[in-house]
Amino acid sequence: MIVRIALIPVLSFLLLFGCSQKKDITLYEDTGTPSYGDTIVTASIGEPSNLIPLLSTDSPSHEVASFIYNGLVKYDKDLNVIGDLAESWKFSDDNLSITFFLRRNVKWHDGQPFTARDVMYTYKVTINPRTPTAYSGDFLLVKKAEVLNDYTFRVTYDKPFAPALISWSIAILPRHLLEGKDITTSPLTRSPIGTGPYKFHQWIPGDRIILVANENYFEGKPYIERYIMRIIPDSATMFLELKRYSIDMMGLTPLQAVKQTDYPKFAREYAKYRYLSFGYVYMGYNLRHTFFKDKRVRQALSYAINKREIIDGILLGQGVEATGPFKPDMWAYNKRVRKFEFSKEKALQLLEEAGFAKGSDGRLYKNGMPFEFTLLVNQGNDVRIRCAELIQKRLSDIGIKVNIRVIEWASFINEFIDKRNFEAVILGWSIPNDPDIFDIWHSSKQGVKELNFIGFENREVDELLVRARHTLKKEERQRYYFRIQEILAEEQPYTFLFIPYANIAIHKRFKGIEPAPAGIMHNFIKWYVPEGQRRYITHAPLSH
Amino acid sequence: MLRYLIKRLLFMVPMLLGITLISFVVIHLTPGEPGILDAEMNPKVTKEVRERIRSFYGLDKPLHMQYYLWLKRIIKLDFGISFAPDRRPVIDKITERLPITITINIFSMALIFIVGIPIGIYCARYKDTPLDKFLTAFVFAGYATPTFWLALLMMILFGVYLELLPISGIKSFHFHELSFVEKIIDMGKHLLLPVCISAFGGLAGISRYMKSSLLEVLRQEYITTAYAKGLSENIVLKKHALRNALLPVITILGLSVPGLIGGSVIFESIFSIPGMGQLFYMSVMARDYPTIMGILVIGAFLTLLGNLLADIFYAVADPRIRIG
Repeated sequence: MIVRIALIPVLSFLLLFGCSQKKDITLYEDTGTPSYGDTIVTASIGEPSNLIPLLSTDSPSHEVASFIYNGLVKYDKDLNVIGDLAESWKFSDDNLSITFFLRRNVKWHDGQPFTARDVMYTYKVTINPRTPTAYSGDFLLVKKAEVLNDYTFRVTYDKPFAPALISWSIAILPRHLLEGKDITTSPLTRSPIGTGPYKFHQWIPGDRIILVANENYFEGKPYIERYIMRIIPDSATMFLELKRYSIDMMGLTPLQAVKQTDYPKFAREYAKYRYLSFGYVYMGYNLRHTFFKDKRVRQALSYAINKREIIDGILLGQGVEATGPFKPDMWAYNKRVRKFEFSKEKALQLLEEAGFAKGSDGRLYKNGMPFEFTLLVNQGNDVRIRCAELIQKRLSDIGIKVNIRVIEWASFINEFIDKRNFEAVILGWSIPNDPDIFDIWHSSKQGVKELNFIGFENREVDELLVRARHTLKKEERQRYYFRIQEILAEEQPYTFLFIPYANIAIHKRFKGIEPAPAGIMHNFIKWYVPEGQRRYITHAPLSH
Repeated sequence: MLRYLIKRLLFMVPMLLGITLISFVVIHLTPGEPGILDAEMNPKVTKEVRERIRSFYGLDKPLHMQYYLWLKRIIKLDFGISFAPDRRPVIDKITERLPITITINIFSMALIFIVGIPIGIYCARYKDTPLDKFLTAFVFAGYATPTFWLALLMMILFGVYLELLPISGIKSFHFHELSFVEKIIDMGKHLLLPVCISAFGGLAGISRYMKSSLLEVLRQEYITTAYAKGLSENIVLKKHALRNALLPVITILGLSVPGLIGGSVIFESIFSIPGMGQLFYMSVMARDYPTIMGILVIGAFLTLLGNLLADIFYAVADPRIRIG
């Protein structure tokens, strides 16, 4: 009896370890030569909603769609506009119209030829009032669109419009499959047909989406044979899958990037890439508030907040200080603007100038009113919540009381931002590739649901914004945006906090990855796995 | 009996109406609207675009009109089209996710009953022994442990360190290449952790129920009579006590029918199981009203049906109830 009982742990021990697979230790240092094959497995927290990108606003949908469709133009790795489906383009002398000369011999995934009529259809369906799309704004400015011949397409605007060219990076849709049908119920929303480097293969709802390389892609067939996006709704689970090597690519949080992946076994399997992400986090002031109306108060707060501490403490160093609405590797970025180094003395001095005085309780008062305000943060964003806590601490050091309120996103927007019912908020903006920031800073954009919710009004900025969007000369635009950044830095309508780094872990068998200002995905079709390092066999024909 | 049944069935109609009305109002009063929630604070989404999307979904109509239109459709069993950007029929979205949720729930419920009932019986028979105390502590630990925490620990142990079980999902990467038997094994491996962990949390309820109802029965006079007849403890327990003690437990089984289609969001998210919990959660987050209402109506219907069935069983078993 005793023997039998004693055997159980031994047996189960054997059972546990006997089955565990041995991993071949492959060295991934050899870069080998490009060859076709293998699969990349990525993961997404959310499931794509709709694979016609015109109809979706979520990022997983756009991520998948970016492999399937092309625009007329796109950004290269240094964020210059280059041709995609358009081989070249020409502005008219008055800068009012753009003529696109399209690539010939581009085929849709179903074999039909791509022509200018597809572009025309995409334009028409975008501006059709019955299409529920979020992207019609830029296209409603088009005065006239014409198909000159099968491979020439021309659009004309009322005024020269700087973001016009890049707005044509919108995914071009296949006219022959959609025209005359209701786009919202088209089967293409679930099994798209595009011109892009990958063809749609399968969508297992709630589980994964599988794409396969398009052998007829006009820039050459991608080396990686299959792309799989797994849907893993929990980020902790996703990270475990990464540690188990069952996903090949994943964006890491600062903690994961700095601490949790810092062990030899991980370093043997994964390479980490880092680039500045397209977004910044700021603390915005309601400029209608009695205290925040005064520029000196805002400047004082910017002095009192220690940005370095936020980056080092919360982002674990994975970010840079923001000085304005652009990131340092953009052409529009002006590095010579007023900076607010952390200084309590300067902060207090400015507040004194603004009429504040320390009361007997050590807090700041103006005309008997204590300096106290509520800082709103949206729920679910830990980085911002912790930022708010550091800001609260720093401001209480100089005698300002900050109350933090964390609110669920939808009510945050509807009840507080839209109703202008806030004193200060921590929020983030994504940084567009094109520097047009009219919608955020122009004084006319203060209506309900419009984005200048802090109520920023500056006549010079208004004028510069308008000029910058209606000229096509890059140098001229750059001059305007430089000046705008100077004014914003001086005015401090926001305290610009930081631009985080994007950290991405990619399995080491993938070669040819080039981090650039545009990120890493810009040359995805050139990524490859050398033959000896392949992991998944993909030569077997895929059944449809 | 028949009159009682008809009365109960008729009573279900206003109940169902009330449930839908309250749910409809509550979800429409939550801040945020479908379609544009992702696009909040997106510079490219202009005010005109918003208005257009609102009227596309019929959100510009007054609330009572929206409810009336919805009700008119639901009577014809038309659950409508989802407000999510995928614009799929709600019924498709639900039926595609039901099988996996039901499978997991049936397995875990079976496990709960298979393990929980013997534990309950043991604890009742050997009350206050060390093993009884240990088992009690064990089932309560299961009840008290946060599922997500336990799940993550198990995933780290079996997935990352031992590499025995897959971490998440329900099918392997190469599922379509497997033979039928391999497919079953593959699914089994994927479902092992989710089923065990969700069952662990449910053991406490059923085993405690079993224990107390068995103790109750054991105190009855006919058990004393049975002992007095000279029957062995085994026979007294199995033949006389257990049958009666099981009755309330079977009622619980009936009442858990509506629970079969419900899934836990946290649990399904952690294991990446595309089930009902996730669907419901995502619909709420996207303010996908037709899908939310669809799931709620089905849930409400099943709950009412479960209650009715339980009442009927009671009525069959106990004539006193039939009068009421």
